[in-house]
Amino acid sequence: MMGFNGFFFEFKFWCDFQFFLCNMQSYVKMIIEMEKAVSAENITYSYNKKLAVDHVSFHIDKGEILGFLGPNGAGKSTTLKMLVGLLVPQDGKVSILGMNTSKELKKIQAQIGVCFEEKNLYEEMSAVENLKFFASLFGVRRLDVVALLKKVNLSVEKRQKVASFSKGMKQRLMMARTLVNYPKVLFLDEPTDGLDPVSARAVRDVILEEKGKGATIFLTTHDMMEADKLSDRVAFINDGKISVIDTPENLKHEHGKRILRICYRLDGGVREEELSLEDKDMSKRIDEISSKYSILDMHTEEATLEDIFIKFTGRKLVG
Amino acid sequence: MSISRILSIIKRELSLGFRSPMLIFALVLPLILTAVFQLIFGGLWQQKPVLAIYDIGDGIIVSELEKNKAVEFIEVDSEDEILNLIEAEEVDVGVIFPQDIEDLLKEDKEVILKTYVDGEAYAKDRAIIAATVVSALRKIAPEGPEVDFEQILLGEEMGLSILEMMLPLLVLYSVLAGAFLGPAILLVGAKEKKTITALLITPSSKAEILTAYGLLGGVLAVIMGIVILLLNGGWTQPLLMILLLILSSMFMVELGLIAGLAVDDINVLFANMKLFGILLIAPELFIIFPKWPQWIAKIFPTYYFMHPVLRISIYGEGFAEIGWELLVLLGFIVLFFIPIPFLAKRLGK
Ligand SMILES: Nc1ncnc2c1ncn2[C@@H]1O[C@H](COP(=O)(O)OP(=O)(O)OP(=O)(O)O)[C@@H](O)[C@H]1O
Ligand SMILES: [Mg+2]
Repeated sequence: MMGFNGFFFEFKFWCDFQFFLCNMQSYVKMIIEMEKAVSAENITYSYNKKLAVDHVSFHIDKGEILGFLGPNGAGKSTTLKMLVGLLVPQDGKVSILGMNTSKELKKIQAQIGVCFEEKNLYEEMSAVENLKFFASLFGVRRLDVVALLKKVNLSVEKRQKVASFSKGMKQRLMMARTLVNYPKVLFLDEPTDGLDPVSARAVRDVILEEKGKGATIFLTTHDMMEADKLSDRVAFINDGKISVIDTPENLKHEHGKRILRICYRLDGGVREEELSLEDKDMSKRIDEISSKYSILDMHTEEATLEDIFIKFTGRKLVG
Repeated sequence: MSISRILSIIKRELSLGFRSPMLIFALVLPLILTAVFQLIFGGLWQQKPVLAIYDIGDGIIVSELEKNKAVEFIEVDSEDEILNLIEAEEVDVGVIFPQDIEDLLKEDKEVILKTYVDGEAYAKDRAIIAATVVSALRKIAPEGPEVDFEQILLGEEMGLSILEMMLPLLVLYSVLAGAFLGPAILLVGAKEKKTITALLITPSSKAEILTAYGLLGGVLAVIMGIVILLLNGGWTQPLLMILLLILSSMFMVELGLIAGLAVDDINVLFANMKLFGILLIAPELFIIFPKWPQWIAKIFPTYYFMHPVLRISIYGEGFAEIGWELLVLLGFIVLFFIPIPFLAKRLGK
C-alpha cells in the first residue's frame, strides 16, 4: 500500500520529470535555434496596400547558402530589406544570430554584410575612401584595403573616383564593402546581375570563399544556374510567396523528369526523340531504334531548376 | 549615440571639399550674397562721413579737426553754403562754430552748436561726426567741454543705410545656407543616391546620421554668420551675437532636417524653398518699412532672429532688451523638434 510519503515521492518525481522534459525541450530548441543563422517567421510587407511579401517563413543554417530564386517583382528585395532591418515587417518576425531584429537591430547590423541591388556607393570618392569610411562606421580601425580589393579582383588607381568605374567594377566594390566588417552573415541582392562572365565569376568566387570561411549567405537571384551552382538550398518565391524550399538535387530528383534524348538517321534526315527515363517501355524503344536506324547521338538530360520553377509557379524566371 | 561615428560622417562630407554641393552652398553662397549686396548698396569701402564747417572764429577748431581721419571736411564761409551742400547731398552734417567758442570753452561755459543734419545721413555717420567734434573740442578744453548740438533736420528722416537694413537678411541667408540647406541637401542627396540605406545598415543609427548632418550645417552656419557680420561691419557684442547665431542655426537645422526628411527629390526641395523662403524673409519687409504694423512681423519665427541681429549690431542693444526674443526663439526650437523623430521613421524605406 502506498503511504502518504510514497504518494508524495511519486508526485514529486513526476513533477521533476515534467520539469526535466520541459527543460530538455527548450534546450533542444535552443540548440536548433543556435544552428540557425537566420530565421524568418511569417514575415509580411505591403507597399501602400500592394502585398509584396506574404507571410513568408524560412531559416538558414549556419554556414549555409540559401538561394532565393524568383522573377522580377517577386518580393526578393523586399524580403532582404526586412531581414536586414531596413523595412519593419508588418507581420511576423526575423531573428538573426539568435537576436530579434525588432529589439537588437544595431547589434545585429554590426555582424552582417549587405550588398544592395542598387549600387549605392559614394561616387565622388575613390574605392579606398569608400571602404575606409564604411569600416570606420563599423569601428574597424585596421582594414587591409589592398587585400580586400585583391580579394574581389578589383584593380584601380588610388585616386580614381567610383563615378568613372564600369558596372562590373562597381559591383566588385559593392562586394568588398559588404565585407569590411568581417560579417558572419551576408545578404546579397542579385550580386551578379548584369555582369559580364568574368566579373560574375569574380563575385561568385568571393561568395564561395566566404562560405568556406563559415559565413552564412542569403543570396537572391533570378539566375537559376547561379542558384544551382552556389546554393545549398534554394527557395522559390513568386508573387510574395515561397512555393518550395529544398536542395537543388532533391528538387531535380523529386520534381524534374529526367529524359533520354536519341538522335538517329531517318530517310536521309535526322530525327530526335525524347524518352522518359521513368518509362518502363524505354529499353524496348531503344532496341527498336537501334535495330532499324543508325543512332547518331544518345544522352540523358537532367531537369533544370527553371523547369521545376515553371512547374511550381506556372511562370518563367526571366521574361 | 557614438561620437566617433558622427565625426566619421562629418569628416567624409568635409573631405569632399568643393565636390560637396552642401559645402558650396554653406560657404560660397553667403560670400556671393555679401558681394552682391555690397555692390548694389555700397558699403564695404563706404565713404567717410562728410562734415561742413563754418567757423566764424579764428580757425583754431578747424586745425584741430584736420588732424582727425574718420571724417572728411569741407570748410565753408556761410550758413547758406551749408544748406546748399546738404541739399546737393555732398555733405551729411554741417556745424557752425560761434566766434567766441574758444573763450566759452576756456571758461567752462556751455557751448551751443547749431547743426544741420541731412535726414538721409546714416545714424552711424552722424554718431561718428558728433564724436569727432567733441573730441576736437576736448583738445581745447581738457576738463570736458559742455556741448549741446542744436540740431536742425533737413529732408525726411531715414536713419538706417540700406546695407544696415539688409544686414539681418544677409545674416539670415548665411545661416539658412549652412543650417537649413546643408542638412536638407545632404539628406535628400543621400536618399536620391540611395547611400542612406548603406549608412542605415551599419551600426550608425538614424539619430547619429541626423545629428551629424545637423551639426555640420549648424557649425558652418555659425561660422559663416560671424564672417558675414564681420565683412559687413555688424560684429559687436561677440558673446551675445554668437548665442543668437547658435540659437538661430539650431532652429534652421531643425527646419532643414524636416524638409530633408519630408522631401525625396532635390528639385522639389528647391521648388518649395521659393515658396517657403518668403515666409522666412517676411520680417525683413517690416524692417524696410517701419511704418507697417510691426506686430505682424512677430508672427514669423525668423523675426526673433532678424530683429535681434539689427538691435544688437546697429543699435548696440544688449541682453536686457532682446533677451526675451531669444527665449521665444528657444521656444520655437523646442516646438520644431517634435516632428523630427516621426518623420525619421520614413528614412530608408
Ligand atoms: N518602394 C516601393 N513602393 C511601392 N511598391 C514597391 C516598392 N518596392 C517594391 N515594390 C513592389 O513590391 C513588389 C516586390 O518588389 P521587390 O523589389 O521585392 O521584387 P524583386 O523580387 O526584388 O524584383 P527584382 O528582381 O526586379 O529586383 C513588386 O511588385 C514591386 O513593384
Ligand atoms: Mg530586387
